[in-house]
Amino acid sequence: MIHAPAPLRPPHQVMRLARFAAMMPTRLSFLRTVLRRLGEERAQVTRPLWQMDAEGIGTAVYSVPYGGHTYSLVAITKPLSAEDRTDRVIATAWDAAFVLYDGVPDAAALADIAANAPLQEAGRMGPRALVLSRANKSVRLWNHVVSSLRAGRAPEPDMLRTGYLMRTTAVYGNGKFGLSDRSDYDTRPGMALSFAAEMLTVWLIRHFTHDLVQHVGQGTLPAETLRALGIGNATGLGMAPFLVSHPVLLHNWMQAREAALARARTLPLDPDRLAALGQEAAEHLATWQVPDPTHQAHIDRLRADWSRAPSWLRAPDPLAAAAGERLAVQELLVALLIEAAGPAIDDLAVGMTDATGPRAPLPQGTDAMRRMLHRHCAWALRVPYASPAQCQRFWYVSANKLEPRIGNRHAEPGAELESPLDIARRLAALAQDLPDTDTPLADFLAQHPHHVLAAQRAAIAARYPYADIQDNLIAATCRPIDLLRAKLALFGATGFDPKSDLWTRISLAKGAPLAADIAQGAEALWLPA
Amino acid sequence: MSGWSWSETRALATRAATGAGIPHAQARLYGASACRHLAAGGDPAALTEALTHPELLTQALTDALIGGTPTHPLAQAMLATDTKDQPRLTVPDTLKDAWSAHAAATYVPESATSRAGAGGAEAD
Repeated sequence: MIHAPAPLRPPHQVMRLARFAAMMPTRLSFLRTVLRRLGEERAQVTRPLWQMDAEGIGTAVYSVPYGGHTYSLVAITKPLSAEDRTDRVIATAWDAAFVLYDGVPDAAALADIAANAPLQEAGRMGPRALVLSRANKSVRLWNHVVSSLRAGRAPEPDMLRTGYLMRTTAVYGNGKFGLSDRSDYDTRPGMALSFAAEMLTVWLIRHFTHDLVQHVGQGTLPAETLRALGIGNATGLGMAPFLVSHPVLLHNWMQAREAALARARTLPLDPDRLAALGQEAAEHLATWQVPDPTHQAHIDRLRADWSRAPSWLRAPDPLAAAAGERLAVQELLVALLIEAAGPAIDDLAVGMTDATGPRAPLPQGTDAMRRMLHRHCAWALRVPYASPAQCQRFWYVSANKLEPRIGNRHAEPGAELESPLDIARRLAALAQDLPDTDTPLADFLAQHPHHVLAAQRAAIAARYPYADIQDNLIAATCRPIDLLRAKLALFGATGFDPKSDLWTRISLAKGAPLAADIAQGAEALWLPA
Repeated sequence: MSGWSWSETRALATRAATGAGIPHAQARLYGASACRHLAAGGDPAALTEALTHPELLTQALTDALIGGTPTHPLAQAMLATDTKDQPRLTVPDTLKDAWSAHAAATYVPESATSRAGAGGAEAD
């Protein structure tokens, strides 16, 4: 390995949709960090309530200490007809509803949760409810595992490749529908990390699905089988705008990731460890199967490319050795190197949050604003936005479900109600409208108040270089799935299974330690494995 | 009802301001200011009243954002402490209804085209 400090990869290289589309989870991913802490604390998951009938309909409560506080997952299952089982956000009924509760709920709190959680968006949650979620069974695998258990057989390995028994279709936090505000608990140990409460929730949901299938199947699955079963998730456009509307947070996430990589490239990494991780990655790729032939072809090519990994991993700087490889190869290698650095990078997770919100001082004059734009936002100024293809898409919020959607500006109504995800175009418009003569910026913005957002974003870009995705998100070529991939990788997702350019299925905690493992202080897994 | 979270209050207020014609950055400031206004026991009617004069409100909020001296009470609230001094907010139905009506002006009816490819309907 090289021993000189490695520079961070520059934002113009990292903050691109094409690279986002290849991003892999790392040991800094949020789920991984939460599991690491749980393992360090040897947290013991208990089950104070289990009221389930033979078909698995009822209520369960799981409690776990985390960071000096106790949190409980309340799980409520309901009968669901096949025609009502849909992953779409417009669904109104699910197999199971979940709440992560602050403390251990008493009877009154349970009654309140039971009355509201199954309603999801139509219900109202109280201030001790931190996270609200729901899930549907992966029916084929669920039925197979239940029938196998009842017959005293082991489930078929091919069936287990689905990777999860249930799939969440939304995981809400931070005050939605009356939930507790994140700011009410984000100063607690372990909760400052982005989405910590949500990650704790999905890991507990996974544990619940293991218990439930064994209860209904009246049998016991081996721990090895249970570890291979994570919790699925179906994700659509709803999570995409977050990356654009939280620029400082995005910067902090990405800078920490890049700092971890730079640190890893500086450390004298163990060659045997690198080789072992390279083999684990190959084994992971071998099991990654998706139905869509186009996406499967990408995975197949990555598998083939990865056969050359042993030669890169023997090089002094593996990432430099793989510089000519496709982005998918490079990003898998990034995850591997960060993993190989081990605990030496774990402290960087602390910075992956933003407690204060996006703030950066505006320059005094319009000339300074122009210089700021050209120096830090040049990527946005080069695009000919008047070209129909460069402004084809518009993001909006649907009247039906109040969820983000994306439309075709040239074919669909509503573009006048566009959500402000067109940051690049706004930056260019600001640059275009700045006066030739230097003017106090305050005067200019007072006359052009619609440019305040762009001015703020330019100032943020100057202070936080990883704050912006440096692509035109309203171009015809923009694929929302690339935004989802990046955010889900930051969460710690694997098994990306895109169903279109607009939504994907993934697994969380597949291969992760079980509750029993965590109680023994198990080291968390390397997520791509 | 256990009260409103600051997050959902801010989100609805922000969207209402957008629906009333306030630019996005200023609408966010309105949303944050509205929470503080309610937390401080301010008159909820002032929040709806402010939205009936979007140009004046935009100017006041712009002043607050660019470092001027805001004269509008809501903009002044923004310059007050950033502390969240109470966990829940009371949003009267009249205010909720008014905000919801403004917010509705920002929503786009879905079309068959926009739904195409959104998927998720398939079970497995």
